[in-house]
Amino acid sequence: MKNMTKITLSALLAAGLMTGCADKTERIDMHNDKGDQVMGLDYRDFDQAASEAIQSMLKSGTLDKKNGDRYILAISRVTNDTMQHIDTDQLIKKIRIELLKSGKVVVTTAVGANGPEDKMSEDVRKLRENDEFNQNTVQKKGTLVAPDMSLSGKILQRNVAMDDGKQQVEYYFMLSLTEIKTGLAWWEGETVIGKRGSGKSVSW
Amino acid sequence: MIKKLLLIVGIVLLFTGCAANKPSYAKVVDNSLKSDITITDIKERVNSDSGLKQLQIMGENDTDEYMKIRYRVEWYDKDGFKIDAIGEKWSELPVYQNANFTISIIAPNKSATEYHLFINK
Repeated sequence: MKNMTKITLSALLAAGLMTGCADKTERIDMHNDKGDQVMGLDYRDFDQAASEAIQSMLKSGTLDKKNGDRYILAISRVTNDTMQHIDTDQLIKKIRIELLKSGKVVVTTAVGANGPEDKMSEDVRKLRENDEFNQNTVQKKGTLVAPDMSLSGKILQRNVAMDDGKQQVEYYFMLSLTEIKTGLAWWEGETVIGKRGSGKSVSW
Repeated sequence: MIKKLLLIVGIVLLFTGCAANKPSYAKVVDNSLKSDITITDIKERVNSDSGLKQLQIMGENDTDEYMKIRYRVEWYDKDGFKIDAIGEKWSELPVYQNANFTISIIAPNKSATEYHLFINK
């Protein structure tokens, strides 16, 4: 019985110690995050790259359509050429949101480099011969709007080994805005983010 | 006569107080920076093609040290309502010792007419 009590007390003590040592999970203050930098890419890097791209696009006047109309923008291929598992939408979505808010651009989800982003625009048109649907509510032919511009790009990573054993990682966010009619890139932008840290840090 | 005058002044002050329009400004919000950084000029214009307001804030680093400052801007429409934009988040700017610096910003859309710009460490 004494042994049992001792074991129970030991277990309780160990549990108490573990609880005391456990790091508390904190929510990041996304508006004023002074947390340490990481060698990989985090949301602050995507915010910076997106913010710089948007400011540059709006300042360039590329998106100022003559009669005040909006350009229709298609999202083309944005390649992740880094060693990290990145969804390039982390960058592109921010840009899309701000461009939409600017009143200069509307993004089409019916056309994309890898097929339509939203297949529904295409799928509902297959209801044309379906008697179960009121044909007056089915979209007529020739209503989809083709894009005027295309946004494409690449996120590139270069790792450089330093003499002192440290590692330098360079990230390049490269974007192009192409006028589809002529195939000419009307706007191009690049943001470079460099990080230097321990050679033991893994940046993927 | 004086009563009438006071009444008119009162009404005017009341309306001024209630005005939705928030006047624009740029200020250094970090006290430790206030003696190091001076805002020397603020230029504004509305781009005739885009209809977007452009800002150029010029300042000086009065110290012998290179520093990195941060800035962010909040935009408001003509009725004083805040406009959400990515520029609300802090951006970094390198400021060289004893040198001028320029912050150049474009409004997120045509509705953005007033701004509050904050400079921090």
